[in-house]
Amino acid sequence: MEAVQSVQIGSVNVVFLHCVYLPNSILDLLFFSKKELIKRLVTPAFEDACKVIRSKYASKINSLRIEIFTGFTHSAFENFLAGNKIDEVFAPKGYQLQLPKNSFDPMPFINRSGLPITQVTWKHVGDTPEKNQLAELFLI
Amino acid sequence: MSTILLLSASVYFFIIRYSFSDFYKRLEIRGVVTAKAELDQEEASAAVLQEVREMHLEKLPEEKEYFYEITPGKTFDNEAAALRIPLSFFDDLIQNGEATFQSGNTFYAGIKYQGKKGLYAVIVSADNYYNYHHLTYLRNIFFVGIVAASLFSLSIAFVFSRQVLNPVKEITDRVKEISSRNLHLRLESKRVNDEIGELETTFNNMLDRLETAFETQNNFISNASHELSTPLTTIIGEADVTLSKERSTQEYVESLNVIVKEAERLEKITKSLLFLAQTGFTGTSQKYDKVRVDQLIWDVKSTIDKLNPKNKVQLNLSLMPEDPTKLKIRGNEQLLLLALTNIVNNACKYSNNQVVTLSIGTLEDKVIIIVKDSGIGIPANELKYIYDPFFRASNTKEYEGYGIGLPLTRNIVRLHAGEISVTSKVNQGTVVQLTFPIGNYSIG
Repeated sequence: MEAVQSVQIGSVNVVFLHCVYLPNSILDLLFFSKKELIKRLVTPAFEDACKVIRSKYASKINSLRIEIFTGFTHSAFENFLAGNKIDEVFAPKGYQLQLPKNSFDPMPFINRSGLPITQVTWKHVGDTPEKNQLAELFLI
Repeated sequence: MSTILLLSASVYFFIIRYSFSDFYKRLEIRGVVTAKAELDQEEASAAVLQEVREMHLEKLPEEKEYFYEITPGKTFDNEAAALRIPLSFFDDLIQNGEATFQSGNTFYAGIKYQGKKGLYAVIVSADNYYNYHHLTYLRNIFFVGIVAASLFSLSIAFVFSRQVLNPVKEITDRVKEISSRNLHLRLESKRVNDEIGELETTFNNMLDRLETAFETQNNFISNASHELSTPLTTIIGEADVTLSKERSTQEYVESLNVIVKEAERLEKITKSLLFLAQTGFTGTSQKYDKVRVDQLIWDVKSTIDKLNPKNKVQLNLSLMPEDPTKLKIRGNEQLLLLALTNIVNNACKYSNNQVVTLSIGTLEDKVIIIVKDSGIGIPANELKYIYDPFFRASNTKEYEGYGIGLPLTRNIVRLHAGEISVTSKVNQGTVVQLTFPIGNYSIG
């Protein structure tokens, strides 16, 4: 994760991407809120970790946010990339995404998008005590 | 309830008003028709009118017509007396051209009729039979309806309040049973998702904490006296054995050495206890000043190097913030050093001098220090006791220690308005996370 930032020179905007299918029922669609969804997905430890990274790279990271992509088609994804002004993708290598219900893996879209992709090696941590805690960030 | 009552009353009232005025209208029409037929005495039209009347106007019960000629100056005293209606009725009639009067169930309506032979007062009276019966019926319906509705709503309210309040009552009863002697009792949580279930869980959690605190209290004295008496027993035993017969100088030196060692241990325990007690109070004479956390961990590293030359403490500064003001906290450097050294020392000790990582990072307004070792860990069910003085986890038998370090550390962290959290897995290691609020010092 930090490897991502250390390569950068100048200030960047970091966008975390999460892909979900929109709900099927009309009621769920009516009450669908990006904010709520992100709030549900993000753990306090993740939030804290973002803050740590932000203060570590205070001059390099201009903004750090989480975006939700809900499209099906490749052109929708291209639009999403253009809308968020994404010019480079960093993806965890060898990390099995633990997808919650209704979420999907964006890698097929990313691979087709033609953007430069940097694979970040992901040290697989086993069943350590710091699993999913803020401390995990410090010990990568 | 009151709404139903109000509604019924107003409906009843307006129905009465309407039916009365309606009935008077009917009487007046009859008066006009009859007067035309009787008074004008034109045979042909009278017959026609009579026929129309028979055909279209239903005969009212007790219907009677009276005709009185009105001549100026005439009083209707006799007529009024005969019909048992007040004189004001006639006055009204003469002045307004029409008048109404009700006596019991009999209704009177009067009109002034200008016939061919003169001015007449036509009075029609009839029993308002339908009105009377309908109204009584309506009143009964309302009465029964109100009673039934109130009974119904009362019973619903009763059932609901039973349903809602019963669990609360159960909880109250159960909590009343719990006293200092049976703190192990818990509320049975049957419900999971509703507010009552949440209340029960909260109660149970509170009881957990209470029980732990109680046990700590109970254990402290026994642990303290045990810890203090062990060296004392050794000293006394050693001295006794030595004194039992004449010894060589060598033996005296040996036993005195043992005694000194035990006495030193005793002193150490007493000192750390004293320190624990001191840090337990807030507002004692500690001096607070700005402390740089990075400086602090370097100091910790050098202190550990002195205490335990074989240590493998690694500092991880990769997540240090760019802004140095975020690293300054308000605190007492001596105490913080003591607390951190304690943790790092424990990490080295229980991991048999394996690698211990010491890292720092900052959130927006907090400094985080993380100490990780790969040692023996703490069993999950003993994690909640680690801050109890003299508590030692069950897997620490072969390591030296008194169980005062961590409680002391926690006291110090609390003094600095910080937080300490420990996560651990047996035989995999322990992670201690310390969080301190930053001190908002400017650069310099």
